[in-house]
Amino acid sequence: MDNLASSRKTYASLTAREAGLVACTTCGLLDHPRQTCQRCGAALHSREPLSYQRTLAWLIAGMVFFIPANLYPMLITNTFGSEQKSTIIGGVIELIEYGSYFVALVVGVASILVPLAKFAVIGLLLASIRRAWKLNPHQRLHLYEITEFIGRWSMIDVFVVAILAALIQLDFVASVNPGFAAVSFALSVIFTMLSAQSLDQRLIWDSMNETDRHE
Amino acid sequence: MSDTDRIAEPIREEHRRMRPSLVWLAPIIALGVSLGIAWSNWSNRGPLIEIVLESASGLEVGKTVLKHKDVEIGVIEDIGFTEGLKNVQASVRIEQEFTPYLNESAQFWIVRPQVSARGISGLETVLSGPHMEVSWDGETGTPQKRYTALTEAPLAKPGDKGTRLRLRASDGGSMVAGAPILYKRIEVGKIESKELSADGERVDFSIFINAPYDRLITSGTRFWNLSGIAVELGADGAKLKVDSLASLLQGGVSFDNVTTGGAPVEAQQSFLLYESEEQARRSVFADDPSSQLRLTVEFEGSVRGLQIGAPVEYRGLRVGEVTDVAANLNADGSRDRDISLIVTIVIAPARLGLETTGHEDSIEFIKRGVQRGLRARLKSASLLTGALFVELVEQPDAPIALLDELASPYPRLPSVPSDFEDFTASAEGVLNRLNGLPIEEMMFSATELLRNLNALASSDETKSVPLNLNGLLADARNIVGDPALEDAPKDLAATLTAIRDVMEEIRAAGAAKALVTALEDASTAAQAFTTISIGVPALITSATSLSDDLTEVPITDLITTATKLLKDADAVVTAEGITEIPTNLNASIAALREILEGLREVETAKTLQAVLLASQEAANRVTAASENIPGMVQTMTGIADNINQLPFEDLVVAATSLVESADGLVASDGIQAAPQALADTLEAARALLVDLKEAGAAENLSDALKAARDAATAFAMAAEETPQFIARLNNIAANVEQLPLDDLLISVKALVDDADALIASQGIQQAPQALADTLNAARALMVDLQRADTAQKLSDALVAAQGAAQSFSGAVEGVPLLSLRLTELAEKANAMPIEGLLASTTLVMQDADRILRAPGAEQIPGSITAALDQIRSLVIELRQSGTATNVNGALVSVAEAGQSFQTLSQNLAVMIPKLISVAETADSVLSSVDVGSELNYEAATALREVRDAARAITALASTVERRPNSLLLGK
Repeated sequence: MDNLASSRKTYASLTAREAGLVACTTCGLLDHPRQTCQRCGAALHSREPLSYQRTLAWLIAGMVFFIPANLYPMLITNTFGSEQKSTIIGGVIELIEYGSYFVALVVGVASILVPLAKFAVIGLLLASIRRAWKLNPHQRLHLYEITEFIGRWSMIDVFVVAILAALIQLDFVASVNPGFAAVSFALSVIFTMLSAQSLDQRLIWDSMNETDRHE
Repeated sequence: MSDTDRIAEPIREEHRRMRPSLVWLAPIIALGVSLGIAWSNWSNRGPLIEIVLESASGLEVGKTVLKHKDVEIGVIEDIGFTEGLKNVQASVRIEQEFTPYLNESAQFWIVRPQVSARGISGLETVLSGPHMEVSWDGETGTPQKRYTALTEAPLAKPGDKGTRLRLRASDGGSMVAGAPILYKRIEVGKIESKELSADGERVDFSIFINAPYDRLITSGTRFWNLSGIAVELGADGAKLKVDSLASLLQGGVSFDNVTTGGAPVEAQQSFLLYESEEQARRSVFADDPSSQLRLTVEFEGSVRGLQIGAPVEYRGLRVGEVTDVAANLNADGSRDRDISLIVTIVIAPARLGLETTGHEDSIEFIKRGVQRGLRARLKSASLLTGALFVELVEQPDAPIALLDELASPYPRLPSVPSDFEDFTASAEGVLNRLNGLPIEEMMFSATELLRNLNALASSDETKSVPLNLNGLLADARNIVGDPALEDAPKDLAATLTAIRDVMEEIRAAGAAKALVTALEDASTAAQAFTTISIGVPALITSATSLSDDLTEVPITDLITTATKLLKDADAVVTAEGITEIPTNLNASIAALREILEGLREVETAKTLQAVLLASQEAANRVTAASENIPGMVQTMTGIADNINQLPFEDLVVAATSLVESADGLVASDGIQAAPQALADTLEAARALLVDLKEAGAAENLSDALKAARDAATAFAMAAEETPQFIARLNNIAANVEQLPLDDLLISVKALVDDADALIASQGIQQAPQALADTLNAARALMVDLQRADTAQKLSDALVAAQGAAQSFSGAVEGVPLLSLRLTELAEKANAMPIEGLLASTTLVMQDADRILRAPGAEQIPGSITAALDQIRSLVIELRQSGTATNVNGALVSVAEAGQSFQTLSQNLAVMIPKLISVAETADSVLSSVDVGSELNYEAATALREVRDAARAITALASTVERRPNSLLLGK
């Protein structure tokens, strides 16, 4: 980081865009702007078109579904005729009440903190791109990579629910059914992942050059 | 901006192209979906209603659901309190679609597991926890916001079809809510609730009759209580009814249409719940307004025991019942008493056989009845319960009265005083008399009696009775078992055998043949006697009674005459120098033997021939003479036959004349001529007797006879102990007489007297007494025989035997109480060789007969022969066991009497504790008697039983007093 920061200060690099060239994101071939990559045939964009919009749209959709995912029951457990609906936070609280702090921590982090953090990170990235905030692009890129990496783990909850619902079907004695929140949560995670993918990383760096230019 | 300026121109086109991306559809759709779901959730949320509960036991917010027919339609969202924290208030979110049905009919309750007599319900809630249930009638209506939950599940749910009715009862009985309503034992409904009426007077039941059974209910329907077990104790007796187990546990109600054609009923119509089916059916009298006639009766005196519902009977037929008993204040005061007791009765005129054409007709009918003497009066239904009922009686002689049609509220029927009070007085009198009964004294007397009986049974005298009896029997046994006595028959038999040997010897002598001839003649005579003697038993029987009187008769005259006869004969004999024939018979026999010996040695044949000829002639004469004897015997038989009617003087005279005839016979020419021949014969006989004497036969005979006499004497001496025996009996009797129970002693004495009389009067009298008397007579004859020397020892022996027999007879007579030992004695006596004795005696008699029939024996009077014959007949009689059997029978009877007495004494021992226990029982019964209590009836019964027992004791006492021997005879 320090190296990068110091290097940034030492020299202002010329981007492909500023040089009138387009780098292929698939094979890395730097070329003159054209429709497809001459080498690998992938579509060539200097910046992904509508990246910002799409990222924002997916983000909003994921956030929208995150609300019912937390309000509606995730699991509907029937044991001996008594039905128990548990939401995500309810489950975490119950786990804490039962003393399973580690499990509660895992569930709470994976199901609540991580999605929220993703929303926050993506929103921050989008805002920084839009507002051209003078934030360290290296750090932003780090955030972005972490977000994209960790996003998929949020699906653990959904998988657990799906497996439980598939396995525990003992009729009257015990049965587990997914609630509406499971679907919502899955959709929320999916949309968030799509949002993260839709963000063109190059936009992060653009702010640095524009800053340079503005200065 | 141009594409050609590649290096220098940076790419800047995108920023201006801000057309919206299609991706925006995603958040829009997401938002739409979320909002849609949220909206649908919101819009499906039904209203929140409040349900007031008594307790929130088991309810959980968000979990406890509301169900209708087990379908979830809501959930509890909140649980709180009503104002003032009185009740719990549950807020329930109802699903929207069910909201319209939440009308005022909806009922909420909490389903919990419940185990009751009706079964087990709500089992599924054991695990899942309770839930709330709602039921409604399925009609849409105005939803309400607030409901009050039922404490438990309603028995008839709002949707059920049927009719809800109300029952009124004076008390709740054992019925609980949920108890079945039965119709012909089929459950057609349930009791829904049971509660006290507002005024607290009655118990109200709400019942629900399921369709279609509710059609059965009409205005003629009567409900009654089925409280499982019904015990009815009434004037008709006791009844026990047991219904179904469910009704046993939770009660129940049954109904039936007691009248036909009732009108249909409406919901919530009220019925009376009767105590029992019988009451329900009787209630027609009270409830059927169309055919009832209500009357009032004013009774004087107490109506205690008259209950509402008590029957009204007319000649035993139930025609109505009492509906009210009330006191009525006579406002006008025109009567003697200000307060009168008015009993309202209802009568079914149809029961009186009256066609119910109308109320007026019924009144008219009663009116005419009153004119004829129809009155009402109280009558006791049961002594036990004191219940009263109203009886309609026709008393034509009753004081004239009329039906007061104007009386209020109903026409008044005149009444007559009941005989109930008289009865009470009588009953009181009875009880007073019962009180006055000298039960204490009676019990005291009974105790005394029992104590005396006990003292008697345990007294030493009584205890010593068997001991004395044993001693007595031992003595008797000693007598019987005396070797002398046992040897006597043997000695006698030996003696007689010796005699017979002598006779054999004689017969073996040369004179045998002629002797045989002579004896054959004698045998002929004897046969004649034998022929006669066939009738002798009858004669003897008659003579038995004759002989009773003979003791009183101056038989000495007869004997004197006989003696005279004998003396005449003696004189005849004496004329020939054989005066002392009997005395010197031994010598004569010896001489005879010497003579015979001499004859045998010197001119035996000729002399013997002459002797035999003479003796044959003499025998012939005796035969000829004996030909008169059958007539004599016949005469005697005739005499004997008529002997009871004949005066004994005549008999004696006849006997005397008979003997005189014998005398005449002896004095007759033939007999007179006999001495000559007898003299000759005796000459020869004397020689023969000398031979005999020389041969020592005579001494032997004499010795044998002496031995016989000694034996007889020993026997007689042995028999002398009999007086001691009798003395002991007397002592026993004296001891018994000294026993402290006079009454008992009198009874026992009378019993002994009776036994005496029994023994003396019946078979015993006819046997031993007759035997004794016969022997007495025989003794008299033997005394005569004793005059003859030859007969002397035999006579002595027989006298001794007779004395022994007499003693034995006396012993037999003297035994009033007997036991098994006496039976042994009798058996021993039976075992004695008396048969041999008798046979030997018979042989002796026969031989003696032959001797006496022999030539030279003509002088022996026919009366002696007759006496011997009589003895023989007696012996025959004895052999025929007539006497012996009687004796045996008598002994057996006495033995039985003894056993009876023994049994009696044993029974006495058993009876005394029983009597004591009876007395104790009676005492305890008496101590439990409380005349003033309700147990009058039982007390009366107990007293009656005590009285019966006392009466039985009295009867027993009087019976014993009158017939003490019934104790012995057992009847």
